[in-house]
Amino acid sequence: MILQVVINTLVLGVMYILASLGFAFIFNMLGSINLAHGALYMVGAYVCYYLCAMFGVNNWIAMVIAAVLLAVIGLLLERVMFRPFMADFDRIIMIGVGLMTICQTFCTVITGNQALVIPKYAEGSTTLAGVPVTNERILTFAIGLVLLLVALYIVNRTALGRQMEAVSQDRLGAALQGININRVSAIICAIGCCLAAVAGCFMGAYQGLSANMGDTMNLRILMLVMLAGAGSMNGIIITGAIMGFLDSLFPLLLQGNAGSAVPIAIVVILLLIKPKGFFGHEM
Amino acid sequence: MKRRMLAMLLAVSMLLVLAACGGAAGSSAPAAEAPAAEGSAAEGSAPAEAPAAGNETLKVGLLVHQSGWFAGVDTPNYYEFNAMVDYVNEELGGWKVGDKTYNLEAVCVDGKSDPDALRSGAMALVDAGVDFVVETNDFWVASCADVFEEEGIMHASAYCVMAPGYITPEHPMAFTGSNGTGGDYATAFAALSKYYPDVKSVVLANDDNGLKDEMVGLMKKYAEPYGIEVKDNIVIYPGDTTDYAPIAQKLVDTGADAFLGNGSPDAYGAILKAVRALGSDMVCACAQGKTATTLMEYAGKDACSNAFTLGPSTREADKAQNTDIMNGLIAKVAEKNGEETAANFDGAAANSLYIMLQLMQKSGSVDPKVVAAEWEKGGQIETIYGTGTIGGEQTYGVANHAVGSPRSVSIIDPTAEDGWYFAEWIDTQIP
Amino acid sequence: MKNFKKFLPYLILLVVCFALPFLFTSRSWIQLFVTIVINIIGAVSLRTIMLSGNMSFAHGAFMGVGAYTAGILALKVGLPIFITIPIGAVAATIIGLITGWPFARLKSIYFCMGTMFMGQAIILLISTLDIAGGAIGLTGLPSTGKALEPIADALSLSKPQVSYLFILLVAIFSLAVMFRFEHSRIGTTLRALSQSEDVAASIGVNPTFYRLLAVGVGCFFAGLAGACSAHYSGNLSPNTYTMNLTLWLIMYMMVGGTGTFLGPVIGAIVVSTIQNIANLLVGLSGTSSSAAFTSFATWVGNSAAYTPFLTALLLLLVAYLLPKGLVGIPSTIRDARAKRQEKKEIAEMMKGGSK
Repeated sequence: MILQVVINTLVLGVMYILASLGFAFIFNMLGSINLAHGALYMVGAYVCYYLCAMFGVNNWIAMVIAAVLLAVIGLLLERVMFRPFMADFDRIIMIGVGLMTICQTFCTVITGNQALVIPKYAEGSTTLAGVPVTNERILTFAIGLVLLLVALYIVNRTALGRQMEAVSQDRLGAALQGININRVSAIICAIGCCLAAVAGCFMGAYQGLSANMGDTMNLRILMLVMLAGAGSMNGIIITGAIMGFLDSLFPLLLQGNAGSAVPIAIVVILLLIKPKGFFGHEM
Repeated sequence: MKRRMLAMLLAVSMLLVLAACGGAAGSSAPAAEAPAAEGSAAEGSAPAEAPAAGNETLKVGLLVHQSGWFAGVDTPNYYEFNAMVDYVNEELGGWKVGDKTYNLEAVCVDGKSDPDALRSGAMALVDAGVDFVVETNDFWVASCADVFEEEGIMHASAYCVMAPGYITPEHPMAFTGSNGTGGDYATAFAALSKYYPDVKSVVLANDDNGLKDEMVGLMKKYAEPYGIEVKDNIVIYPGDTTDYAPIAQKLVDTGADAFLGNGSPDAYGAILKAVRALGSDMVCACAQGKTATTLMEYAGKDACSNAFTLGPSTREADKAQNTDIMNGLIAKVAEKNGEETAANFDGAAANSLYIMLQLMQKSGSVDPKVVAAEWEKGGQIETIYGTGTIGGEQTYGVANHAVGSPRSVSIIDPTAEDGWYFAEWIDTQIP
Repeated sequence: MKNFKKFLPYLILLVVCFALPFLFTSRSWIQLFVTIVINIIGAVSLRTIMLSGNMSFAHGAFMGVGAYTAGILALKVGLPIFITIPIGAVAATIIGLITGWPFARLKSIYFCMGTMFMGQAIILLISTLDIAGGAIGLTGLPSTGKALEPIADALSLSKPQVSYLFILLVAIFSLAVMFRFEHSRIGTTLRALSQSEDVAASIGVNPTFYRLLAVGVGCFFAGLAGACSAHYSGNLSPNTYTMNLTLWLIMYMMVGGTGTFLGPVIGAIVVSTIQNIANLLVGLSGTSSSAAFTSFATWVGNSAAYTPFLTALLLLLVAYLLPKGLVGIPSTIRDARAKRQEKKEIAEMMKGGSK
């Protein structure tokens, strides 16, 4: 059982991290809470599904197309949502909720009563230390890990990452140093939405699509990023593991809604102990 | 100050504009006593091929969630209810009750997956002068049944999870046309003992709907005749589960031979997938009227073995097994909402409406009180699934407020064509 | 005279509010009015908390705490509703203060999101309690209509009418108290806190105390609204008090405009009306004599799945066009006009200069 929990923790943790990377990018660099991130994650999955189902596109290609499309949407959102209202919390929340409502309503209407599932990315299963794990989950884990490492590499080691860091610390100062802040934030939004789409495509293959798949994930994303703290990309690894652990342990120990209430309560307590997240700075 | 005054005037004028929208409608008294057949006939809403212009209009209401998180579950009800209405109007040329022929008019409202909005929807239906209402799952409607009871409106739940406070002696107009969870358990056990004779113990997997003890009690009652043991440590999972692997682990740990899934199909599909991923071969019994293809989509083809559902077959080859009206409804859904929607035909809401219509014909009246009295007489009745039996005294504590109709068993078998085959209709009684 | 003029619009609004159930007697209308009034209390009390600069995302949960306390006391202990409703409000205050104390440590975005998680946890925990009916909730609560029956009979009113009037009185009391609160010295202090905590602290203001005061007052009225709505509809369900309720309360406040007391009121009126428009039209179709209206209403009811688009559209329009919310429409127009005038003048000056 312990081994099972460990494996679930790893897989689920990486899934959460994959879904929340995009949110964390936008939150850390632009300081904007994008409540529609869960909705974008869902839209990515829907795009991928309809490409597979209606045009018979291979699921990997469909995922790439969905990711590119969402990146374009990200560029658009940066232009109409994040850039004009960067410092305006109220407005960002309002647009986020509006966007979320539109996406969910649209998907509810087009889903109807059909079972929508993206074709699997991998078949079969492998036995790890005596515990059978499907290849699908291993693949999700591996790709999530790779994307996470790439994201961390970009943030920590490249010129773009240093520019992002500069922008997130002081926009005006960064602009004075000759950094094109609009370009940097456009790239951030494109990457963020693109990662949301990739996460949606994997979860859509793993658990099927529904118009509200973004809601539960949105809450997990927010918890994960808040626990890590504003401005901390590296902290996401640890908080992702914590969230994955809570969500794979407590449903096993407790019955019913308590299985998801207790993890949330624990996150609240952790947040109260560490008011700025584990690695964050003040906003 | 001027600004505040302007804003105030704006608010008042907005209110007045709103009021003007209602126009003459608002000021008159509630529509409770207006006869159902009154109102506008044949204006816009009547289909082009509607026969006999002299037909009167009978409003039938549908109270389901069209938006919000429960919309996914309720959308089939919406499609199938409207298909039934269209079928009666277009194929049967109206519905004969006594010496009059009625064209049906569907009045739908939206519950927004929120009890308060559902209540406002119920009130809207009452105000719209509807006397017969088909509604969403009973655990939602228990909170607004009193709105209908006050006005003596007949209301029938499309699917009954046997929530306390829905069919009770205080609610004489509350009915259900569905077998409900109890009936589905009974059918599932019958099918288990027949097609999977090795299964000796069963465990329930259900989302948390607050009815844990009731569900276990029902299962034990229905499993007894077949000598199947029901495990006490049932698995209840939260509605917002993100990963079903721990749930599957719990199911496998109970050591049961089979698990009974009842809830939303994406959840038990994902559970089936996770159970197979753990290497377990336990039987999956989906005690709900979802088609086999729905389950196979959610669980994935390679996880789909040793499983069955209680959904009807919509395949061309199996259509001879279905009643004519069911085939007609499937064709209607296919025509209006597309082939994929028709392939996942469930029929719950359409069935409740069909039973009401039958009883109207039997009693020769469109007065809900008379129709309700006819229902309470008991006996046999046609449903869209086949001939059903009115009952429910032991289950609900109220005599003859439910209908037990046959359920079809679709067995998922990788060796069969498309991976599944239609087994049989099992007649289910609600004691 | 000046005072009279100042209060005239409020007086008109009050008279209109009291007259509404007599002008529009059908159930659907009164249901809409009750929904609006409860949302108004919720949105205004949320703004009271926000005065100190912290946006609470747990407000729907506090409404739930009030509703559940009142409902369980009424159902299991059998107390009359006039006792349970205040107790519900007090319970929400207590829970608000208990949780508000540690949450005072959290700042800005951490506070928002922390309260959001806490609200979710509270409602999920309530849905695991057997006494609260678990995930299915409780039904058959004593309703305001029944409790007020003697009054209704004496005044020959219908039950919904008298319930509406009762909830309206509660709302007027709540709004009056919160208006006084905002325009008292405490309100000014809170606003100072929201501008700069350090400066306020340096002149001897205890930030935690004042923040908690705002949370207490806000939660009290949230609990009151929750308790009233539970007793009005007669049922309790965790599905009512989800994140969605909180988000929409925030939206009522923002659409109306967070800057003024009137903002949330107008926001709640406009947004709740749009949200409920489909059901309202269906309800009105029963008594309408116009066949065109009836078929239009039926069509709207049949396509109610699309109504969230309308609310979302409103949100986006307000976000883009009205920086001060709906109450700011006149001043926004005035500003735009002044700007245009200024531009024109500058252009004319330039023209004059170039000659």
